[in-house]
Amino acid sequence: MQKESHTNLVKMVNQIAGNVFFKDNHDEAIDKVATHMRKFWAPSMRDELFEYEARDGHGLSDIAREAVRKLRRDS
Amino acid sequence: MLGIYKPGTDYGTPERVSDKQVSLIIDDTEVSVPEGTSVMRAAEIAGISVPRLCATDSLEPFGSCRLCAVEIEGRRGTPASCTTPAEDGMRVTTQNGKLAKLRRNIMELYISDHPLDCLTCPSNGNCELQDMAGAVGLREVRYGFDGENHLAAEKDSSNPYFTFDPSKCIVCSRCVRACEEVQGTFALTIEGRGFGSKVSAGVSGENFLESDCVSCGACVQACPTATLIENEVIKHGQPDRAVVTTCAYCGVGCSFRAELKGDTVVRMVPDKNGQANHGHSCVKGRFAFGYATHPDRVTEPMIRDSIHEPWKRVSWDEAFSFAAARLKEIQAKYGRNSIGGITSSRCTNEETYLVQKMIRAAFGNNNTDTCARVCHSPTGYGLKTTLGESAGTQTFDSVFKADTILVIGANPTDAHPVFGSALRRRLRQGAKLIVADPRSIDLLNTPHLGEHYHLQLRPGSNVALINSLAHAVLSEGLEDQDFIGKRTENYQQWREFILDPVNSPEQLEAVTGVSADLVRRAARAYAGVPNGAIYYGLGVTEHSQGSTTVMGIANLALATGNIGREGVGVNPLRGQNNVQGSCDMGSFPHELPGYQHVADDSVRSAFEKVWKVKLDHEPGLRIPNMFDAAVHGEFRGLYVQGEDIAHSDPNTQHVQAALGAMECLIVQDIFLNETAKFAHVFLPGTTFLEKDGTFTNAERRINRVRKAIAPLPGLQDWEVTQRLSSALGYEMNYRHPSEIMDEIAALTPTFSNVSYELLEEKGSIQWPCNEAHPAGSPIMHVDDFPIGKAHFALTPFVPTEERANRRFPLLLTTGRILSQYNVGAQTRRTANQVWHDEDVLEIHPHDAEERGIKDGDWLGISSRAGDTVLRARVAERMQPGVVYTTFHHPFSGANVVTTDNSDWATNCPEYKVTAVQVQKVTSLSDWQRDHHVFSQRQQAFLDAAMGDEPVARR
Repeated sequence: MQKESHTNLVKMVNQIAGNVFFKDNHDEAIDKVATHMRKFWAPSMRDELFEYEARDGHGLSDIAREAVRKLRRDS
Repeated sequence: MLGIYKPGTDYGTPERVSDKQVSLIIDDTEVSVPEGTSVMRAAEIAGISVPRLCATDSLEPFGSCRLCAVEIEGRRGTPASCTTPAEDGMRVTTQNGKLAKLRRNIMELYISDHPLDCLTCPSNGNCELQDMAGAVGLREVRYGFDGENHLAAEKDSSNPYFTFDPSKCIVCSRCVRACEEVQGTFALTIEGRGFGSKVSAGVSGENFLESDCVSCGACVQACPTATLIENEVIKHGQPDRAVVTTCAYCGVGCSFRAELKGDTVVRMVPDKNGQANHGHSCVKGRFAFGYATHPDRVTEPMIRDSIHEPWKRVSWDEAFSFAAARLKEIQAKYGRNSIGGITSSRCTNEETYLVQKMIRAAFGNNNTDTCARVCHSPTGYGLKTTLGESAGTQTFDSVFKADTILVIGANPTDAHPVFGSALRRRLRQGAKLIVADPRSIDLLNTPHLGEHYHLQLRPGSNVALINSLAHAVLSEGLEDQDFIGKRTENYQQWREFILDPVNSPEQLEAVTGVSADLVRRAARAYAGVPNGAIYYGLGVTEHSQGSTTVMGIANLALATGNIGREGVGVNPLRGQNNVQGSCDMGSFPHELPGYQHVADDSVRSAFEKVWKVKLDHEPGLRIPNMFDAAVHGEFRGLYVQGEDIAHSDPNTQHVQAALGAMECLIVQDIFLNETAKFAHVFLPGTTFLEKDGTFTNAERRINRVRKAIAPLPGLQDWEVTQRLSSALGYEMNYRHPSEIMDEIAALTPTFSNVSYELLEEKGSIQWPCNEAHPAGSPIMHVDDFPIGKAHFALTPFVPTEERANRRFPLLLTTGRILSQYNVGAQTRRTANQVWHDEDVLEIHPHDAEERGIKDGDWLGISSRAGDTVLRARVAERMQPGVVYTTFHHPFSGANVVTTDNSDWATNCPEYKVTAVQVQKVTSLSDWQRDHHVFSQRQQAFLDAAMGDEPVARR
């Protein structure tokens, strides 16, 4: 069955968050995830995630969700 | 006059390096040489050639033939000049009546047991025995030819590339010594004693093919007669010209002399002036070049409206017009970002540069990516984050100063064989070895291997292992405080992180499967010596935490001060010939050439000025993102140069769905590969023998590729891209790849001094090569890092989501073998098939027994991505719970099973960890059956276009 287009993006951003978040660096981790998406992701991927987060956002980790919001605010 | 091609001077014995010079007089000529140099070499330097048979400058002196006897004032007898070191004040005579008589007598004995068939011998005109008979003035053989001899000895033609004719053997042992000293395999030996001595491959009764011989060709090259000789020389005769070029196989980037007779490549001989390989080679580069003229070559452009239609052969102009019109239509319909392209690590720097330039300038977006995405993209991310530059730090030769060598997730004797031989030589000299690998790789079977450690970790636990090694280093006080203090930043934070008990070897042994004691001993072996060097491969990068492991490796090197000099460093072993170059050339969607980010206004402005076009400031899509977008209908056109993504990329069924969704797929390749079966435009490509350009190897060495034969399709690859770009409305008018390199140098700060003129002068150049490093940089980060101070990155271990469970209880890891290369497009079309004509699944005896599996059984391999069927090979080198296969054959469908899990930072696929179940089956998988039908249909479409004509035309 074909996955929905945001499925991989959610997995990717959660993975980034999981790899940059430590015990006590909540804000820094959000910055890092947002920066990573800005630096390496095509705008179409970011836009799709913005839209998904605003619509539903199910499956996004806390850090990932906040990073998506931050990136949308800063864009 | 016969036009026999003669390579350069053979000095008889290897070069010696010494601070002290000694002066001596040889035949009235004074010569000064480094201490330790042989009299023979000193004489050759003085222009005096001493006759010899068992000596050659690629091997240590042996002193068996005695032909090189000389007289030395004040010494008794006639010492062998090859084994006698030159000394200060020595007076040597190489020619007088006594020596001439002695040499004639020796030659007389040799020739009395040698077939006198010179006129029909394949080495006629290029035989050292023949030369020496002439040099010593042999005029008669007083012993006759009727005595006991070896003239009836049987030939061994078992090896597909060379023949062993023992009747011509003079038992000089050069082949045996080459196998030991140069290759390090120890497959050959001298069997028997006295007159019965003979060269033997392996144990008595084995032929070359059955023996441990790896067909590197070192013995053939060392042989002074026609005893070991290439079958192509037997077939075609001696070559009459040579072109020095660079191998198109792995990332070692060996220099070769393509030796030709007319337009036929007779043989590829490793160039002893090659700065990466120093005259050595492997079976691929040395012998497997026949694919270049294989009948499967498609040498004319083809187009079709749909992949369900036959191909139509067309002119270049028609192909370019068709492709350009299609791409423009797609952009008009779906938007500017609906098309993209993929550059190749098999193509030259100049070709790669042009492809990404065309995408950015003519397509108008940054949807460019490269096959390095699926191999070493984590190296780029990890090393740039920690060391400030996306490249390895050393030369290959640096290994000769390493005291401990840590090899992680690499199998150099198979995948980088010439470097593997260098590594083995260093291990024989006494360096310690640490191997971190789930499998027992061949390096651990190195003859005369000394102190060594095998950290047989579980797949997916690299970061845990690297962290535990770093924990051991810090907790035992083995760090280099001076280096850390002067040259790094973020150390305290990293130290606290690593010293957390969760990163201790004791805590992590449950994760890695490696005992804490072994980890601590290995850490001491690495950090407790003057020079510790780390080499790694795709076993590091192709994981969900590939980038994290690369950063962990860099941290380890920084903490121990193992950066910035010979014998140390962080060394990514690049899989394909130009992985480094394709990354350097701006293939990634977020970076312009030289790893300069597209969002940097000043960088973009410099490119815009030269390219005369406005550039997009946002990153484009990576390969897996392109596939996802294609499946979801947003991405409809793709130009693929020299890559076979339908075969090499993971989750084949997803890739096929993406390619099947394309409205215009343009494939530029030498064969109609798996990807081309989904294409609408086929642009015939050229092999490395047919073009000019440069490759950059794993040590950042830029080497020239020189055209040896005319391009079969008429155009070189860079010309094809240039004309496609022009058809799209973005004119390119380069006249030669050197002009492309000039543009690269003008726009890439690390290349600013590079030019074809400098390459001709120096042979090769290691970047950075610029104002600060005008002659290049063999060792990086000697005084500083591009980011000032190196950065300790925090590397938490995050387990992959791909885990074994009851449904999929085994972990599959994939890799490569010696005789085949990547997707096998080249090597499958050579006699290398003798060694590996199908991919098999290696499984530990315990797992095999549990499932009732025997060698040769058909096995169904299932993962959550798909199923395939392979034959079984029960192998002790596996650990229980782990199975292994290669992906050299398309039909095996190894990547049908691998998943779309990928590295968190770069999307490099996690080829090394797939949870699978394995069971005996009796029929092929559904995918294999469908693939067979699809491939047959596509072949029929090609055949219909070609009619009765042979495809590869000369």
